[in-house]
Amino acid sequence: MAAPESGDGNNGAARMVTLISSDNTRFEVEAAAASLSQTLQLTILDGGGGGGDGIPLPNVDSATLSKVLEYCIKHAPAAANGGAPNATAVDRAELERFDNEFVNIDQSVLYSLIMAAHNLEIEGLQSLVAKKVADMIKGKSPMEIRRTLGFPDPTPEEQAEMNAHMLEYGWAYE
Amino acid sequence: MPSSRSRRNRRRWGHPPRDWSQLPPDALSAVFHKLDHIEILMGGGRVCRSWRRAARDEPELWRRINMLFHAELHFEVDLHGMAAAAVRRSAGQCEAFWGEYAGDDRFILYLSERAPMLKSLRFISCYDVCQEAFMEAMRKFPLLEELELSISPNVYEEAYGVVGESCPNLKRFRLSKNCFISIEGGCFDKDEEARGIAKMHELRSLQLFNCELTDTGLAGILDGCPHLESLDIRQCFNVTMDAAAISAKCATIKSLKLPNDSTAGYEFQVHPPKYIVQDD
Repeated sequence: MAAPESGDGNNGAARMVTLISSDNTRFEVEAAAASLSQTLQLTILDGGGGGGDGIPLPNVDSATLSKVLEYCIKHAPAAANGGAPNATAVDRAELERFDNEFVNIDQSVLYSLIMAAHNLEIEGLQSLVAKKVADMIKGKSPMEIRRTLGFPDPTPEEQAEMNAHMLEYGWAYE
Repeated sequence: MPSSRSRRNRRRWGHPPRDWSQLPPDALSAVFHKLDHIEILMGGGRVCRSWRRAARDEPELWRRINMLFHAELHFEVDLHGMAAAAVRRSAGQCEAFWGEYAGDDRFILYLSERAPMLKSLRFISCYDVCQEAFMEAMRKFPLLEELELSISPNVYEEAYGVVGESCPNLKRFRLSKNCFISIEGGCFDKDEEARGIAKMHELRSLQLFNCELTDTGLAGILDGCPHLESLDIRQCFNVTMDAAAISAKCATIKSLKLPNDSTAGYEFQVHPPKYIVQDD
């Protein structure tokens, strides 16, 4: 979660930045973690987000942002090592365990994470959530996918479109 | 840190309503990149209008088309038609097509018109790709670097010479037959295939499995393909040349597998050899 706000002022403590969610919650987090976001990286490099300012994120609510930062904080050390060429197998296994656990969440949270990872352009998180969705829909028919993800039943018009699309493949039937 | 106020809000309002049809195209594309192409064509790529669009309008997604490992589907759906749909989506940018039971004459001619950049072509169990169409198509893949024909028995003999002449950049060739069959006696030419393969002068890697070539054919290949680094001629029981003789003819070979070497790791079923005696 977000690092302690008091921080350790001495001993060259890591630089902190503040992010502000759409519902006005302030999160203080190490700049290195927030910089996993391509969108935020330049702002942070230019000194943004420090002091009392904070960087507003109008598209990300506090629940989602707290989850996103949990990911960033966990992955920041490895990312700082340039993809961690010298990471040990244990470190990698631990990150993998974390990732698996991290996406073990309900669909609405997953959806919000996809949107946030997309908005903030956090590459590793984008890939992780995409993999999760891919695993959920793998081997399923369009109708099964719609049911899995809670799409409304297709209108007759949509059904006709789906059928027309099948013809492109020269399929005799579904 | 989230304040207690925000936690209360979260409990009260929950997450915003989600509409999976509204995923941004980039996010959907990231999902599709984690699926194989048959999964996209049969499932995710047909879910709704926006998902269809995301699957259809991103040629990058179809640059390397992999339709392997769905052999069981060929009883149910038209995999050739799906292969064509995949190539259509690549919008001329297709660099690799790998098909298992996915590919027939009509498809390979279509591919030859739509994939001028093709570098890698693998057909596995493509019984419906036949000699004439194959040869016609191969003339249109000048950039091809890799070709595999496994368990695809309707391409043979002079077709390999056409490949050698038409694909000057070919680096890897794999010809893997279902069963070693040697026709003894009569006037059957066991080395016609090998003479075609000997025209693939830039080959680095060659696997011939269950092929009937003899020492003469192999010698021709070693002369014609001076850059070979990897040679696998397992189950080609008409070859008697040993490792020393092969190395003496082609010193660049680093990895060599001989006819009687173990077939461990070979992904298709291995059948016992057959010898057919034919009268003159």
